[in-house]
Amino acid sequence: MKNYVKQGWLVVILALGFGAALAGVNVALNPIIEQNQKNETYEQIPVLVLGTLVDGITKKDMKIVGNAITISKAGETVADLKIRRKLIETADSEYTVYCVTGSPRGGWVITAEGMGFADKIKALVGLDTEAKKITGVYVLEQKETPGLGNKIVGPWSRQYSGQPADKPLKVEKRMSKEDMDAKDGAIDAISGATITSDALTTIVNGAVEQFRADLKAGKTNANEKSEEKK
Amino acid sequence: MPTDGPTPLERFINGILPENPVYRQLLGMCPVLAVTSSMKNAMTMAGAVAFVLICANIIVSLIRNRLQPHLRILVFTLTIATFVTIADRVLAAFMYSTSKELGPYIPLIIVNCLIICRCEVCASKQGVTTATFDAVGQSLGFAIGLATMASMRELLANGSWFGIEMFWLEGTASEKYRWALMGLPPGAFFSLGILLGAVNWITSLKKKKCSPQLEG
Repeated sequence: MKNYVKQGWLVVILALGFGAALAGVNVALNPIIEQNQKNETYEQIPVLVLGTLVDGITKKDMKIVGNAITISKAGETVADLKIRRKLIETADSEYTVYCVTGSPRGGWVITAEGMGFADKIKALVGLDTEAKKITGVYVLEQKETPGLGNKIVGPWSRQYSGQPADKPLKVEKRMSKEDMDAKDGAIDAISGATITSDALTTIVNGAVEQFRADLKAGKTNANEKSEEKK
Repeated sequence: MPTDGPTPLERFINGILPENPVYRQLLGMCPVLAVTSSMKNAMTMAGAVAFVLICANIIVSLIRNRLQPHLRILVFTLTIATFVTIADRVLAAFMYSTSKELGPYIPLIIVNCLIICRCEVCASKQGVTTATFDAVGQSLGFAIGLATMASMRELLANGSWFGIEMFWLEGTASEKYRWALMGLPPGAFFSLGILLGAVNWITSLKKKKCSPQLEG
């Protein structure tokens, strides 16, 4: 026993010291990190809900205070949104709903998650107030093939906006320009990354369907009291 | 205090070019290949490695006389892991988007051989001053290695440097001159091979000049 103490005391003291230091760092930085993660979602909400109405808006024009987002450009208020968050539990998992109200228009933003080609894809889906139309899709996390599948992060995902939400979207290869403009539920696949395009579309379809069912069932009515606990 | 081994200044200079971690010691190849697709990511990585290396070298050097030989690797890893976690959290708090782009590669600094190698070779044998100079020199050497790789890859793949578009690529024709492959993993291997070859070639030329009688 004595021998163990003699040999190991330095390791024990170092471990305790380092542990305390890490705890301190965590206490100091965790609020900032959580705020960063929250802001990442919140910064996308105006784009997802308002679409082209906020074209040309940068992060600098956006002000996030608590649950309110104000966008002003050249001294004029472009949008004034309030966000209520609610976690909805489903049969096998859960997702978050952001109920957006305010001017110029409100809507819904939901989180969607599922398997992509390489790893899990996490996305946000924007819907209009009646959940009849998709107003935008933004990919939060993905590890798809660089140069091919990771194009889902860029302008490619803009084709989701304006698509109907009441029927599942379908991915098609080599669509003509007219077909794409028609917005009748068809998504043009990324060439070389059909699996990724399919996967994201399936994730969006699943999330939208689930949300529409929950909306009908009245599960999405944000309960103010349970909200405060979170 | 008399010390065996190289002096602080020698350690410092050795780290930059003669014993460059990337081109001479071939250590820390994982970040060299993985995060050099852009200059910004590469320099963030270099900064994080420098922080961890300097802190770990100082701590190890301070406790070097109390180290049990068979427990030293454990102590090195413990020290390195602590500073890597701090670096990771600080990046997530103050450089959130870069931290997300670097993904797992910041936590993976723990297994960067460069750091444990410096603890073993220098910090566990020499004083704090030498260990600090050694860490700074090696960090600079590592940063130079990452910077050369990242400059080559970012310029060829995106036509930019530190995210700034190069003047000759401005305008609509720029898409034509982007060699996307250089930003992908194969590009990392090509670049490393070419740069390593170039460094070896320059070194062999220098050797020939210094000692022509050894030729052949």
